[in-house]
Amino acid sequence: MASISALRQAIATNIATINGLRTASSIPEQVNPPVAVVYPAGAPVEFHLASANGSSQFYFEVMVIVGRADARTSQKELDEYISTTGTKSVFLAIELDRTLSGLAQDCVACRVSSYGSTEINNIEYLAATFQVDVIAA
Amino acid sequence: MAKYVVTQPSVTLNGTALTTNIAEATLTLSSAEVDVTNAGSGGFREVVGGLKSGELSLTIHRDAAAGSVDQTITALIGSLATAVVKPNGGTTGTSNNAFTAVVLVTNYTPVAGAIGDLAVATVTWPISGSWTIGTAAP
Repeated sequence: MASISALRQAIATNIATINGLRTASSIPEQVNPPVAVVYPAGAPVEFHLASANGSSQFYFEVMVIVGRADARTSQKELDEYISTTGTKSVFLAIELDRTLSGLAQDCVACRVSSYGSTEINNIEYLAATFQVDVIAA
Repeated sequence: MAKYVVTQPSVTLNGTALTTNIAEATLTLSSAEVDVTNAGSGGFREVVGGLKSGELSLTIHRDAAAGSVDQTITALIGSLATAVVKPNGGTTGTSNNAFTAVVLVTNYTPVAGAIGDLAVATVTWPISGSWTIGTAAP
């Protein structure tokens, strides 16, 4: 079975190709935006997709967090990260290497499921959450 | 044999293991039903077994890599191939019989699925001739 830690690290590695966007493959104690945090989704693994552990489905979320010092600037910045094109597209970065350096059979950024304010350690940020599906043995 | 949850049906085709790409395997062995009801049947229908037949149905996770399922199966379309199916893992035994039959590879769908779907192919191939049930490794 693929290691969840290795898969989330590999997703973070893909995202780290975006210049200026920090990444974390585990939930950090303190947020230093802009940052993309990769973590397992609520129901993270579905086993037995294929016979004899041929493949399982892993579900991850990637929360992209930006500062909210200026609402308009923050939204513009986050819009760039959730775009389907451009050098800051997290969607393109996640799917840059869909094998996740050979760890996965496929990796797909499915959707952005939320966009809005979020509070972390009593500080308000703007964040968008990507849903990422990975198929791996 | 104890009851079990299906997690590891084993399938080979002409000796090539397809197992880790198999999401579902169904081997159906059957006999035709021949009606022999007559005036002496006492008002009941009577039947006897006719020709035996069978089919192998598979749901396959597609893989286009060299030597993987797409290439293996596509090369066999229209041909007879020996299929060995075991219900619960690759080790043949008295509690995990090996069903061996020659199937006619009549179809495969190397391209299918909507955007976002897992790429799968569902096939049903008829058995040609007899089958064997073994408790020793074929």
